This record gives sequence, C-alpha cells and structure tokens, in this order.
Amino acid sequence: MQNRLKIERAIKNLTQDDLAKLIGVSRQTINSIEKGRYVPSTVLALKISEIFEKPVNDIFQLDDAD
Amino acid sequence: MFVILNGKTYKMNINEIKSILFVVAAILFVGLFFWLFKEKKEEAVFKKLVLFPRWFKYVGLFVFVAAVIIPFHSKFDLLIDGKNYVGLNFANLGLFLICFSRDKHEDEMSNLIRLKAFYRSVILGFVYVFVMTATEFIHGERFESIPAVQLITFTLLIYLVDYYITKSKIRSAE
Repeated sequence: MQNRLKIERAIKNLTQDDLAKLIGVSRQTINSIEKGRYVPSTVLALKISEIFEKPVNDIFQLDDAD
Repeated sequence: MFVILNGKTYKMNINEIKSILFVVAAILFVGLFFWLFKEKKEEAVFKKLVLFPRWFKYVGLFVFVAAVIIPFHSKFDLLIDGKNYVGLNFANLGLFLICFSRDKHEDEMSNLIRLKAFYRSVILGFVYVFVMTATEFIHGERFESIPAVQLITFTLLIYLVDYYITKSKIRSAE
C-alpha cells in the first residue's frame, strides 16, 4: 500500500510527533506507516483522513502487490 | 510460624500456611481470569490488548532479579532434584509481569509486535520441548519430560527478546 502521509503532513506543516499526538499513537507508528512498513487499521486511517480533511483514498492507495 | 491477630499470638503449622497460599493463588487466578475477559462485547477483543499498568514492569524486574540472586545467598536449600524450581517460578512471575505490562507508548502497532513476538515464541517453545525431549531420549540416562516451568521461562524470554529487538529495529530504521 502506498501513502501520501509525508506530503500531506508537509502541507499541513505537522511533524511526525504532532500527528502522533493528534491521533494518539507513537511517533514510531507514524514513521512506519510513512515508510510503508506498517498498514494502519481502518480506525487509524479514518482518524488520519479527518486530520488532513481529505478522503482516505486520497491519502492511502493500493499498489500492485496488494 | 507465629501470626499475631488482634493482639493474640496463633501458631500456624505448615499445612495451614499451604492452605492459605492455595486460597491466595486461587483468588489471584480467578481475579486475573475476570480481568482478562471483562470485555463483554466481541468487537472489543480486536481493539487492544489487555495489559498490566506500566509500573508492573518495575515490580517484575525486581522480582526477577531477586529470584535470580537470592538462591545463591539463601541459607535454605531451594533445590529440588538438583533444580531450583522455587527460584525459577519466581523468575517466571517477574518475567510474566515484565512481558504483559504496558509500554510508555502503547498503540495498535506495538500490539501487533507483541502478538507476532508471542506467536513466534510459542512456535519456538514447541520446538524447544520437542528437541529437548528427543535429546533426553537419545542421550539421557533415564527418560524425563521437560518441566513446564522451564518451557514457560523459555517462551517468555523469547517473547521479550523478540519484542524488544523488533522495537529497536523500528527505532533504528528511522
């Protein structure tokens, strides 16, 4: 799964730590999601989409391997 | 052993102490059972793992270190058939508290790391029993099964090592 988390974060001027605090997870989790090592749950994906005020599909996309 | 209750001294024999210990263990077991299964809704099972508070980790560490150190300095002989089962049981208790208490940041990813570490430790525990039993069978003087307490120590240690290695890998990959 690909994601635009880093770009969206830069647009909103948020650090990994800021985003982590906003959605109640650790900074390592945000970093792992950005690097594609960890696929977040639906609840977490929805929380992220709420923060960036965009649909989940705009932030997370399926790739060929999925 | 003498117990002072309401200003009076009672003498307790070893069987009474054993009975009290059994009742305490039973209460702890039932309490732990209800605490683990307190979530009535099925979907709550998938939300997050039930873990002890963070300070249990330090209690567990203390118990574990004490269980490792005390047998070497004790004036009582704690060995049963040449094995320190009392120390091993307390070491297990310490490891258990360390393993199942919360970290500073507990979220869905750390829960997944815990589950994967536990899954791998159970598989390795099974292999450990199988290999040790086979070794005992081939090379041992008389056939002996692996004590459960030894398996628990092995499983918990593997879980702990796996969990912290995975977490440190994630931290170092940043």
